[in-house]
Amino acid sequence: MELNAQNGSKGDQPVRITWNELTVEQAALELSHSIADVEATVADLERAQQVSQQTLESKISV
Amino acid sequence: MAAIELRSFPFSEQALYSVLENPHTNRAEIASRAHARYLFHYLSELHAGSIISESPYIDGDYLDDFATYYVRCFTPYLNHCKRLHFFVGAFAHENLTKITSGALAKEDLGRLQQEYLGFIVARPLPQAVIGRTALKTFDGDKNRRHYPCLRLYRANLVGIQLSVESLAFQEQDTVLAACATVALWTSFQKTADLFGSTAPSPAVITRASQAIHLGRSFPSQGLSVLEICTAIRHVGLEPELFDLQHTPPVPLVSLLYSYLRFGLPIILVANVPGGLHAITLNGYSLRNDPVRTTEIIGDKPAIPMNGLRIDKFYGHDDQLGPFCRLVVQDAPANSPYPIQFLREGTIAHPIAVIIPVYNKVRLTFLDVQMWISRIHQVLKILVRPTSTVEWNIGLLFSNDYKRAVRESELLSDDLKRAIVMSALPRFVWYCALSVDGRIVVDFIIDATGLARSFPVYLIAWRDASLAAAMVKLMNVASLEKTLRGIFSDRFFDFLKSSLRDGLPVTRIF
Repeated sequence: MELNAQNGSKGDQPVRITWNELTVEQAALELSHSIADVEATVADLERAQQVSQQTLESKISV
Repeated sequence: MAAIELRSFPFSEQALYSVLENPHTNRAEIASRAHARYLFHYLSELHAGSIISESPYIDGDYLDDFATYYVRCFTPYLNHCKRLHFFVGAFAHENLTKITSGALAKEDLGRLQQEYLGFIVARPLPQAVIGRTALKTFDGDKNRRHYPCLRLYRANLVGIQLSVESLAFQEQDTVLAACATVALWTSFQKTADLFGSTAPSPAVITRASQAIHLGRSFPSQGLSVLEICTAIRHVGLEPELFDLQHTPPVPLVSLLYSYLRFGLPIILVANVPGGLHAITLNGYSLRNDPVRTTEIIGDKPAIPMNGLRIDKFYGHDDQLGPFCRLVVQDAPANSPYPIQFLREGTIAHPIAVIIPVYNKVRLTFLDVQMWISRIHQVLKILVRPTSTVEWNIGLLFSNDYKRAVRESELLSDDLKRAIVMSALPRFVWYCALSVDGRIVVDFIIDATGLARSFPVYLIAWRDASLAAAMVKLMNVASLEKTLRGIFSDRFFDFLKSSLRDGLPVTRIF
């Protein structure tokens, strides 16, 4: 179980959160692109959950 | 009454092939088979030094197969097998007399267990001699190799209790079991341990899977994906099926990791030279740094997950042997899927993934992606572009999450108390964001809920600066509409409530 693991090779460095370096306008611009990205991703994920008849009938025999 | 015959040999290639032979398969035929050669190299890597052969050995799985098919053949087959025990070093071989006479001192018994590498049941069949096999895995190589699908196998050698952590393997006999049946048999070994479901013999699996089948069940001509799903339902579990042929690409490596880390063996259906083949994945190699730059959902980059650090999977491949390496590769541009696996010099193209899960595990890895993709879009703008961001997403028993929280040296007592005292469903999806190697926030998603509902159940902000940044962002009135559009109203409101006092919030119904 790796729930408390410090992943990667940079585990000793502090986390750097940069809210103060971002203006509201910049955040708004960044986020405005995100809605379309999220919608496209969700649509792809929904399609990825479908199963085709061809796959169901695939014979595994070697 | 027949006596048990124990014989010991120094471990060598010739000795291994000799003890595997039977009246239907001679040593030369065994030496020509890939399984025997693989097992010799595998045991050599584990520093095997002694073999003890135990005969007769009654193996339950073989006996079931024997009763279903072999006993009715005109050619007589034995109803019993040999069991071969393997040990590091020469101690076991040199002390066979003491083993049989009961003269081993207590510390010698301890040494025997310490040096025990596991066993192979040698079936008295033509060609398909490798029966139930439980062998030790390689060591963790500084926490790189992970084998989460192991369980304990006990072997009693004339009254000496031995045990090995493994996942059982066997070779397909092509009569009662083709590769798909054997892949299911291996998976059910572990799911029985995890969920208390049954672990039927290959003959039972093949027959159950073909309850509705136009051809004959035996000799088996292999199973279809639909028949694999039927066999999984037969043992009281549900098949989580991901079709990789006719759907948009998904982050396959992270998907496999998310179920494997729980201990669930995964049946990978792959196109290999000769046709479709089933391999039971049961482990992975996790590097410290990414080995690929991105995974894909559809035609867009997926959120960065620790699948990017996985360079190999391990699996039981009944064309080869147990714990075989499958090296993850980016597929060439004209390939049917973005990822392929290099398997002993040949390429395996993934076709489908089937995971036997407990019926209450209803949300899939892809359902979870829908929610975590939303939060990632926002959190990523709060992190410096030069920082390394990684999501660790996996299925988990909630009590294992609580145990890990209890053991953490990084969390405050208040946060620990708030999490361990939260009422959580038995199965959860654990989604943790790391920034530059430190976990900054946990999202716990109810795995037993409904995909269409709002399943995020608990948010634990581990990093005060991230929580503070989120509070600031979410309090900007002009951004609220955009943020609600990304998150959904319910997720937005839940996030806001989770940030009120810095402690995790569990939803109350």
